[in-house]
Amino acid sequence: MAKLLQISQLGHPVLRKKASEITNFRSKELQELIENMIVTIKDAKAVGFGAPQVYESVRLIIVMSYPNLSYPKAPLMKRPLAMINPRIIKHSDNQEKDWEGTPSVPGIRALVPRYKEIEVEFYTKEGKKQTKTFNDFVARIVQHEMDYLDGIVFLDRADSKDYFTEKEYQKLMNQQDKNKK
Amino acid sequence: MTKAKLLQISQLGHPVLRKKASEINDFKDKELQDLIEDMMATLKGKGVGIAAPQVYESKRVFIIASEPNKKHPDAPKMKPTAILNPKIISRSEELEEDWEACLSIPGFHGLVSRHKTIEVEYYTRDGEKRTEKFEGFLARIFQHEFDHLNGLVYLDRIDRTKEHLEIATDEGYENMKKNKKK
Repeated sequence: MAKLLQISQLGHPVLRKKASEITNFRSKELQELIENMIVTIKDAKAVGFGAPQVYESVRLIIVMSYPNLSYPKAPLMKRPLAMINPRIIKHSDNQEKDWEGTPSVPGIRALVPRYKEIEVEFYTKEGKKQTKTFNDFVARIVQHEMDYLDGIVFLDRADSKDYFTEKEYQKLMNQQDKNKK
Repeated sequence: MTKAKLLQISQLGHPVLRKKASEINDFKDKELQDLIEDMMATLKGKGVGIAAPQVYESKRVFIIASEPNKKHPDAPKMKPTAILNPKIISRSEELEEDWEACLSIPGFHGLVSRHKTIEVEYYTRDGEKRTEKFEGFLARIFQHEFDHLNGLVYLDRIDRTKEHLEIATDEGYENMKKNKKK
């Protein structure tokens, strides 16, 4: 059965290291890591993880967008997508700022500029090479998670004037909801 | 005398922390004196400095209260002192890097470069003008609190030219310190 994994916290070197390519797609360890990451992401109410967030310095990310408490407007993906050795091969010119956060940096959110659309080449967990285009929120998740593979966290990409504590972020979101009503 | 109150601490994201605070004109004002008492009480046991915007008051006053504790075993002693309308009149060229934290950004630490010595001018809570030199840790606290009066927080001062931002969560910071000792 899948296990919950410990989540690494900013300050730990695993989050600042370049992760290594995965060469053996069939290994039992890799398949187990994927299963364990999926339950850990769900448990953390997150929408994706890079493997370094569970102390594994390998080029693997999981993206699983669904509406939840942290991201009520997240689009629903039918199933979690594991992407091995991902590479962005094309991206839109324009970037868009939106809010990000992560269980590896609990308590701070920030407005992060990301490409609106990206095309990514990756291997599936069955070892099949694939190319996929992502837009908007899901493109944002993919870019956020891929950054971990190069030792980058979302705070590096944001202006410090756009850093908010969780408390003030929640207040802002409630305000915006009220204004819409 | 009324008893000092514990005040709520503003959190990063609140506009009061991003505003330029206003000069204090009336040093005898009872509300100001109460605010100073309340800030001292609020700071006690929690940190080594607090600025008025951190308690939702956009005024140019902060408290420094330094003494050795678990977080800062080498901190020099300075009894709780109110600093009003401060000015930094000179700064050493020499900079020093060290880790800082802030009551308004709970759970985080960051490596910040500050001037090693500064010469400052300020008013005491009795309205007396002082000129003083601060060095090392006290100079660091002064610069950190002074920044709050100008809408800045220590995260704005972290070196962005480094490959990675030197910011850590409590857990990551503790882990880092442990590894350094080994």
